Amino acid sequence: MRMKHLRLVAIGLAGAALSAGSSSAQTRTAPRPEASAAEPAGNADKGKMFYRKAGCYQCHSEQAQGGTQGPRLGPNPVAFRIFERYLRAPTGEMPPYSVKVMSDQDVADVHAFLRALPPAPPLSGLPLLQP
Amino acid sequence: MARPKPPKQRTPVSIERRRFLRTGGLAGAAALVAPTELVGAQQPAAPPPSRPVAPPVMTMAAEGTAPAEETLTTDSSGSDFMVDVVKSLGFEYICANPGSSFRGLHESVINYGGNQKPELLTCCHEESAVAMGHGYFKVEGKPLAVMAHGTVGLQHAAMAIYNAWCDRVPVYIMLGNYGDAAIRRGADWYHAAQDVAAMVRDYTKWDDAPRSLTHFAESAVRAYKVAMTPPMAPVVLVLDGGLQEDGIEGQGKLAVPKLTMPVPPQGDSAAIAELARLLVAAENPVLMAYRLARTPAGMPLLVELAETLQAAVIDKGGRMNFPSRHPLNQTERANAVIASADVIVGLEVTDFWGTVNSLRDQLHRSTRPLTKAGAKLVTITTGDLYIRSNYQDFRRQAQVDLAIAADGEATLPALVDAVRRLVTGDRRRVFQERGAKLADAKRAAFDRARLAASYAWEASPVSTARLCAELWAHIKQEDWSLVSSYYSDGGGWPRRLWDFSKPYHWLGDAGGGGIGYGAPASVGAALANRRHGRLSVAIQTDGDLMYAPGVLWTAAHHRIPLLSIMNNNRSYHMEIMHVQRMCNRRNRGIDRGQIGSTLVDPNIDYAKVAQGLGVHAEGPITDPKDLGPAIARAVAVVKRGEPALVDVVTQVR
Ligand code: HEC
Repeated sequence: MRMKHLRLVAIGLAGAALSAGSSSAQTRTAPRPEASAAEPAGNADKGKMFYRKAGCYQCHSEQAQGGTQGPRLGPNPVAFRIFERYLRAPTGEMPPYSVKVMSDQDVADVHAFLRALPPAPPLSGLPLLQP
Repeated sequence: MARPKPPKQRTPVSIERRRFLRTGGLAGAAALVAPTELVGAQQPAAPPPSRPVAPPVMTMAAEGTAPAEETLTTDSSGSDFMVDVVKSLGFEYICANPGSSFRGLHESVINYGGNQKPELLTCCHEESAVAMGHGYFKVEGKPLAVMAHGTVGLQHAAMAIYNAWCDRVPVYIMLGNYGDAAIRRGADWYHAAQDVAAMVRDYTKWDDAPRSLTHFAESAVRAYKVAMTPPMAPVVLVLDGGLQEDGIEGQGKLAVPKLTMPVPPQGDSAAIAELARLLVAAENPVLMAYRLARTPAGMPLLVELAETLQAAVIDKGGRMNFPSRHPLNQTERANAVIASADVIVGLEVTDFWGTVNSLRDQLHRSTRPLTKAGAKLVTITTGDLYIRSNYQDFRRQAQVDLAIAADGEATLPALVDAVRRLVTGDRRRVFQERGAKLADAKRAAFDRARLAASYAWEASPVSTARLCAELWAHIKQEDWSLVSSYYSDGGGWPRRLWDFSKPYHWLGDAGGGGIGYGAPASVGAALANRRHGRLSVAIQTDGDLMYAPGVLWTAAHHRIPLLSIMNNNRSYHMEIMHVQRMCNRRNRGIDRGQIGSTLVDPNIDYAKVAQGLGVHAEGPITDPKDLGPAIARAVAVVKRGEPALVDVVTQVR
């Protein structure tokens, strides 16, 4: 189920990077499940630093809100197992992050950072975004 | 909007034409010490130099001995006639960075021609001059003329010419050249070549180096006609220095030739009938446009075709092809509609293959079709009428079922008629259901875009979505024109959030992907918008501005109202992402991908840069709360008829 979702995002982006933002938002209306028991404990502060250092911000933007080059990643990221699998072996355009450059602990830290991101302010409270 | 103030300096039309040459050897000296003298040319006339200056030597015969009664002045020159011809072609402006190899024409433009139609605009770089012409055309539908040195000026101009060529935009370029070696003085040798246009011949549509004034007149009119006939492209005329400066005696009877513009080619009627059948019978037809809307008539025609069929439209943004909020505009859902389409029509789409296939950028590049099996693919493009070998702008060969070699816009009226004739009551009901579904999908896409924009709303640096939303709030009540933005060609924030509905709301992109187009093309487009009283807005990236920021001075000097909002991410960010890919692929240094591509340490203070060039400017703004008031102040300046810039430090994307 999740894998299918990932592949859909990948397909959405491969042809036209510009559609990235909307593809991700489209698949993100449902809240994400909490981290599973098998997930290693992550440190959100370290994860924030690694997110920047490893260049995730380049395509997913500084607060992981997504941009023209990559979908929004948080808050409510995909479940850890799927997250890790995607980093190691992306099926779309995203460059791979092997264990050699990103340890399992780094992955857990980044996931913790994404989980800890604040929610967006309610849309109804932003006059500039009203139709 | 307030009427723009007149430029600071205006040459009186009635100026005595020959006074300048009569006052002494200044003209002869100017070319010898090119850089400083050229800058001096902007200042009020300087006194003649006190050192002795050799009289101009015009011919081999004159070389040895000066005649006792030497004639030093003339009342007629070749370049005066050139101006007559140029005026007949209706140019409003001529852009140039001054150069001695076209000093004859320069003088004729400002004195003989009265510096009106065309009016000379001072540019600080030839790339700016040509790119201004690029932007100007996209608003006005008319080319702008450019003068430049045949060698050093053309080399500067080459990048902008390439962009214009890739974007199929006409720019009319006149290059000075001293062809006759016997009359060249010092620097003239560097400013001369045997075949001046050779270096840009691969990316111009036509060039000529006229040998006589009659030859010039015919070639000048032909160049205009060639440039403006779709597929349009820049043209080059090489103007010999001698031909410009010599008198017109002995040139025979001179006449300005008549210009008759060719009618652009319309698609073959049988092919149009076949396409209409396919479209009417299709369950999910998709109309995809890139450089379709060549004139303001283009968008209403596409709207008519789409509404008749209730077909999905993907606006790939090379021009303002389709209203952004139209219920049939499915641009944000491009891949979804392509995947379900049974007929896809590419209307002046340069990269048709790339829109119906994907090429994956991983270690092993792989491709796959985005269309479903059996989908019928059709193209209508002048791209099938014109191709060059060296530069590869023609893209990958698409395998299509029907290729109509014709101008898209010129073909639409016949296609609309053919479709209308075939629509039955049954089909109309099917169309209506389809249209309703597409309208729902459009509403949902718009809501998703608004939701996506709300993330990182308070972020500092400012999110690109916030920047676009703040800007929109200040311009939506105005008669606005987004003259450039690198992020708007298909799915960027302005196109997702703003209501684009007029032909000049969006002008497309650089064409050749050469960075440095944004700033000068914006100034050129703003120049064209000025006459219509429109508020020109540019989302100006930092890397782009740094190529030739001097164009801001041109905007200030010539009172060109333009609101530039910097999308300053302090980097050449696209390149950072490319290098990051390499780091990841090679399993090393993933934290070093930005080396070589950032613009920090020191951070560039664009407000100071702009202020130094005479432009109202504020920034750097990092707190999104400061943005709205700064934009309001800048809009007020622009409405007074002047350029203004707000430097906003933004998120990377
Ligand atoms: C060069 C651009 C780029 C960089 C750098 C990058 N990504 Fe991505 N990422 C993408 C794109 C594009 C996608 C969309 C799917 C695809 O095409 O692979 C994506 C998808 C993802 C997904 C799947 C999201 C979903 O909703 O299915 C995750 C998770 C992800 N990225 C995490 C990361 C993390 C964590 C980093 C840094 C360690 C990172 N990315 C760095 C471009 C990038």
